[in-house]
Amino acid sequence: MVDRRLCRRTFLSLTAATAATAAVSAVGGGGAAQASPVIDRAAGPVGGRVLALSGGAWVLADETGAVPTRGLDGADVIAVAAGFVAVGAHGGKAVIWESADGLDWAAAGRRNEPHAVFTAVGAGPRGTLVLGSLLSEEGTPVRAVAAIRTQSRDWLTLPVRGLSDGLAVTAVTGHADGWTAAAVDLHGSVVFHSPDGIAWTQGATVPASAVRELVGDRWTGNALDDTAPVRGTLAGDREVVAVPRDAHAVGGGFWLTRGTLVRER
Amino acid sequence: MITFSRIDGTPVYYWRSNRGNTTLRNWQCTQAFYDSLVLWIRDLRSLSSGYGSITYLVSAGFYVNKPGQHGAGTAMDLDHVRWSGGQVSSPLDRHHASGTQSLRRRYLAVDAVCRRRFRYALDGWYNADHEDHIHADFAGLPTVCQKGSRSDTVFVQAMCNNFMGSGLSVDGDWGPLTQSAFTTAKSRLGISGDPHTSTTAWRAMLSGIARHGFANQAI
Ligand SMILES: [Zn+2]
Repeated sequence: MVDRRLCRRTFLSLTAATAATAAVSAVGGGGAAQASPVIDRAAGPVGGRVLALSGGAWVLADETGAVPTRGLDGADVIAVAAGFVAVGAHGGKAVIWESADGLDWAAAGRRNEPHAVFTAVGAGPRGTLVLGSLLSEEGTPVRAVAAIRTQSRDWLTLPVRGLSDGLAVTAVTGHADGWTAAAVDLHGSVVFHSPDGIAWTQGATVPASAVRELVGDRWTGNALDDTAPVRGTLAGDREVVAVPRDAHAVGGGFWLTRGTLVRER
Repeated sequence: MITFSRIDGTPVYYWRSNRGNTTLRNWQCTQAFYDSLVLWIRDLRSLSSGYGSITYLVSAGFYVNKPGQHGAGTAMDLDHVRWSGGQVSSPLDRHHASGTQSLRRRYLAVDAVCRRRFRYALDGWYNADHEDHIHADFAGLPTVCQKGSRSDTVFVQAMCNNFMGSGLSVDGDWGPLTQSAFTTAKSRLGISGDPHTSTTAWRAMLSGIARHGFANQAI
């Protein structure tokens, strides 16, 4: 099933773990979170807040404020999943980070190719699955790649068949039957299903929408024809969400508009 | 991120779900990218002035909620350009592979103007995913012609074939035949300076290619 292990780096030291505990206590005690900073980019929801880039630093934010994180300096975090797993790229290489609390992050796996990125991560009953792409020099996806973490806690690369190599996967979710992923093309989003994360078959298409988050058969994203905030089901329903018209879907009920996180009313 | 429906006054439509639709759309991109779009359309107007004004553009997207340059609001997918004189250039209709030479040359002219202001530009020769639009982004500024870039090499090879009958294989590998054809084109266009290191020289060469393309003239 699995072809090889990702090279693994573990440096979650006692010092870092202690610092993390202190930071969590400070937030829990109230008043430690900075007033809402300008959010430049949001990777996704984690632990009820959003892992987001603000002023060049990764923070854990919500609509009321933000606290700094550690271990993600210089990272390009694209997506996060329940269980405190973040994915993206660092120095052009695809990287997976893990955390115990959302505040202290450490690289847990990376691919060795010079141009690659992980773009989606999802958790389910069968573990946590990461999908991404090898990239051309110009930054376009040329081959789909995957990694999975099961009970072993180690990240293992998976060979991938049937996922569209030229499209970046934007969302993946796990369920009792396996995995469902979405990728965005020029017409909308294409949905793929897999029992094992290896063999994928194309399913429904979601016309004129870029799917950012999949939960069961429900999705959230932005319209392609006018960038409106939208959500729907894989059965074909679609509705505009009651948040500002220019808001970008983040996931977890959060939206990003003009540097500010908001929630659906 | 800013919201716009027109670039410097010219409307931008969306045809991917309904061809011919002329409803104004809310597009988004960064302010810096929009500023480059304005410079780009002014270049396009000026270099194609023989066709009249630009009536409208059609795009498949600018900001798109996905990873990469589109997700950063620093990319455009160009589907179609329409001029008041009735001319069109339609990447959406695969004009790069048209049986009509004037349409291929016009496509290369639009492609060249994109390359003056953006990097990278990915076109119908780059790969199958781009055979129905021209993608232009901010990924690798400044704009120069790099022999190691597939994007630049296929453009140069297609340009030499369509304007000079060079008979190059459009394979993205910058070999001696591509080098020789490129040197000839550069000389015939009267370009001084090195387009591989000088943005000024490369932009001048791209303008020359665009003028010949819009006029349907050999180089
Ligand atoms: Zn594009």
